[in-house]
Amino acid sequence: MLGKLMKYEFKASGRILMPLYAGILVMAVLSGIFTKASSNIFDIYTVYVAHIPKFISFISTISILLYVILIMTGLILSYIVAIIRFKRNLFGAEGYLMNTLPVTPSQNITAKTLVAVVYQILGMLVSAVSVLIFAIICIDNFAANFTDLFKVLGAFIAEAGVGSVTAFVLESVVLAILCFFCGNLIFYAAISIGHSANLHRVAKSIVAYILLYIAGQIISFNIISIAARIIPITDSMLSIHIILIGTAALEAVYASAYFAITHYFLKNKLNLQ
Amino acid sequence: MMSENILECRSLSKNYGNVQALKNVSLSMTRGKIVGLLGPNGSGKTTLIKLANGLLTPTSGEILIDGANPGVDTKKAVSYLTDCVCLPDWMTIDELISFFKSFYDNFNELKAYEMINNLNLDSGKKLKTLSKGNKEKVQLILAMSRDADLYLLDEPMGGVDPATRDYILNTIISNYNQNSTVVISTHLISDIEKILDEFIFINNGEIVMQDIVDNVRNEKGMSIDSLFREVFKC
Repeated sequence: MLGKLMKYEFKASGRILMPLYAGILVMAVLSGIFTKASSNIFDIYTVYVAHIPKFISFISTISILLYVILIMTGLILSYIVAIIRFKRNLFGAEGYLMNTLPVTPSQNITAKTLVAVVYQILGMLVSAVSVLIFAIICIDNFAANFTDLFKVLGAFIAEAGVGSVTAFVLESVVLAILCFFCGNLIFYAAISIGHSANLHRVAKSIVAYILLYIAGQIISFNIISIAARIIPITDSMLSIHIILIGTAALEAVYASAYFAITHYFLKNKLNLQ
Repeated sequence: MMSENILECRSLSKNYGNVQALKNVSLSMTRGKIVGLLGPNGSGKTTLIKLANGLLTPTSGEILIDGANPGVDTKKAVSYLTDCVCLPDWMTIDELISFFKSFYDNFNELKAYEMINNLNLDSGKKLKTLSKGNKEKVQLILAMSRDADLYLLDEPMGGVDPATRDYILNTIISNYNQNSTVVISTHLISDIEKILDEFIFINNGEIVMQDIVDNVRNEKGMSIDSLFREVFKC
């Protein structure tokens, strides 16, 4: 059942996000080409025809602007789509369909969370890859510069130790993924709290979010203060690992708490209108 | 699990804050009946239906579907037709049928397409491109294409023309079987009373009357519509 819910969710969110992500890649290519063209044209034609280079330069500026706007839109929209879909699909009119399917509230929440995180990570990856594409098109000898970068990285890894760097990368990835989960689940918790009310549901959801956020910050601050006093920081590499693992553990606890809150309100306090 | 009663309420109460939407309701329905749940607006009909669907939790008492509390298993056996259009309108009719088929084992795809074709609807069209009347028909078709034990139809004929109302009634009757019960919640009584076996009058969250339709006709010589007007006189 979870798989079926996720398949439907991928489709529903994808119809908005996938064209946008495709657009980011297309704009990366186009603005790369225009930027490269304008720099070449300046070299060749400046002497002969003054207006063409200005026009191409103008197009390249516009296309870069559009490209940057699309990236920003993509990143923001991946969150907005997740939040709006959760609210509309579970607490709006569609809630009558989704909450009467033979699935548990946990499955509904999990499906939405997993798909939201996948699209958010995908958005970041697409943006990163698009920048790479833009750079490859625009920058001469990019491949050579890139291999230099790898050489520097290789030297750094050799010095720090492969084991330590691998652990560092793994811990960072796990922490990043947990942050994505938390980022969505706190909104879901706030929405499910706010929509248990009869009136002013959106306003109450916003208030719930603010309260959850503040509570989270206060708790985190206290935990980190205590931890900083208890944990002896000797080795700088070790302390980085401790911080990463500790923060990941904290995020996992928060994610579980937000999930539990969302589940409680979705199961027991659902108030479809 | 086959309980004697397909739907049973035991001292069921539901409060919304200070408002008592249902007060200590006890009733039972056996299989193979078409039951009218009749009452004025705000009487508790929709609250009762939502409780049966697991969309609300009781304040006290319990509600049982085939002897079980509302949950994943009862949702498999209950087909709910809402009074609003609650389907995602970006989906096509084909996609909606595919959706229902994947979530409900007892969804009859052939029956659904047969009904869609009877209405000359293009199944490749998105729901949002359809008229309100057609959207409601699609929703009805999806609900009635399920081979459910309990059908809960909330105002199935609100806001549609007389010909469509006849279509809906015919669909309900032709899908009827001995093992299932259909509960129709409505205040358009004169239209549906010809297909009802039993009726329940509900007002202010309490059951006012529950009886077999034929008893009323034979003993009182009244239609249910007239009885309703008499009982709920303002």
